[in-house]
Amino acid sequence: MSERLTLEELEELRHCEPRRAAELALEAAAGADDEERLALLGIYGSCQRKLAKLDEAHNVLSHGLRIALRRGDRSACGDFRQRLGYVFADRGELRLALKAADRAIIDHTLARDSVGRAKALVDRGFWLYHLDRIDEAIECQKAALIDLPDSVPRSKYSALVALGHYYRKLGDLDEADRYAALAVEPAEELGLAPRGHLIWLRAEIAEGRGKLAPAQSLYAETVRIYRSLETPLDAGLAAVQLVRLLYRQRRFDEAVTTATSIAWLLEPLKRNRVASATIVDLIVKSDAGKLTLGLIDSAIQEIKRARTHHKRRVCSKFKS
Amino acid sequence: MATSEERSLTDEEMDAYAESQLERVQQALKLEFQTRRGSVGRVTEALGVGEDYFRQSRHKKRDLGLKLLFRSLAQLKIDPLLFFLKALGPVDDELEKAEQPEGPPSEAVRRIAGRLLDE
Repeated sequence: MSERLTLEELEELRHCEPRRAAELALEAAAGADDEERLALLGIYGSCQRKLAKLDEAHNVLSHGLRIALRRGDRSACGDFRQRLGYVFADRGELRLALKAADRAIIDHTLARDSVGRAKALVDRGFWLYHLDRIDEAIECQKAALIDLPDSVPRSKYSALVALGHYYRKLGDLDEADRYAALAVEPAEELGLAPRGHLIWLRAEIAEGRGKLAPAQSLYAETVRIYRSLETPLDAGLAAVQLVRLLYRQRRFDEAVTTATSIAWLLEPLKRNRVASATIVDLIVKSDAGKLTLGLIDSAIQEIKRARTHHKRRVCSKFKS
Repeated sequence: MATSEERSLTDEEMDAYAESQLERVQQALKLEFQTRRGSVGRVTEALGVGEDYFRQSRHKKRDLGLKLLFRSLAQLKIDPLLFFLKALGPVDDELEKAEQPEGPPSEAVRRIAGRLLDE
């Protein structure tokens, strides 16, 4: 194993620095025992997926699964199936991702690995949600939380934030708020991106509840975080949501100022024609005094579409 | 399973076959319970059996009664046809195919897996 990082640390690193984590996994293999090699294959494969190298990710993970099956290592089979589920989802095969999660749940159950099973339940919940089966997704995330200890903050955070998001979608803002509050503690142990997701969710909940002052500062914080993380689509969406919040309060001057202040997004978004054209349109019309709620809503929808398309290839919102 | 054209099964083979299929049904039911929070308690209460009924079934202390199984599925609002198709149908070919490597191990796989590839 690497002298610097444990497997758990390497697994965590892959979420924020997949390229570095992949390099370290390759280096660590030299001195690793068989069990560690199998784990490193999983981490390396997930790094490739995070880097949008889906064919290489599939190659690594499918060979890893084959080895795990041959060794009769049920828990490792479940782990590889979970990771493969994300590759299937990124390829747009959500039904396959769900099947992979189901199989992973059985693998972990047979291995008597309750934490592994709970993690697979979190994944199952994601795929159910994306398949528009939100009620089942909620039950699934709640079932996962029963067996998720504090020692796995990322999965716990993922299940809690997902529940907050699902309840917000359903319009139950009390429940959404409750789960968002519960996610604060596990989020503190994670990186900036999960904290950004949580702040964003809380901004949306606050807006839904009509708590406009906190919503404004939470949206502004979200934009700052995603700007620093260099994820312009997320920053752009949160920024336009902030413009809408101001406009709805009839603070038109501030809405225009905020809209024109997002010109910095054009450079990082230059490869994304739809998103950059949307932002240009918003800025130009704001400058010309033609900012309307319809224009803002349409910009939000366009950026959401661009973001979904991008994330389908690169990563998902709550976990990767 | 052997067909009648081949040869009759021995009692031991039939038992082993029956147990393997029962295991698949139990695993499928367990999966359904696991994905519905608190459902074991709700179902066992509705059916008037002890909370450990399904756990005992799983450990083969007691075969899972068909009537109770169907009543459980009704409680969980699961279509029995879909349940049995999922539980006893052929292994999911679509998933199995998707899980197969699409080519020989890449250089990185060879480097990380090392001797594990040759086991």
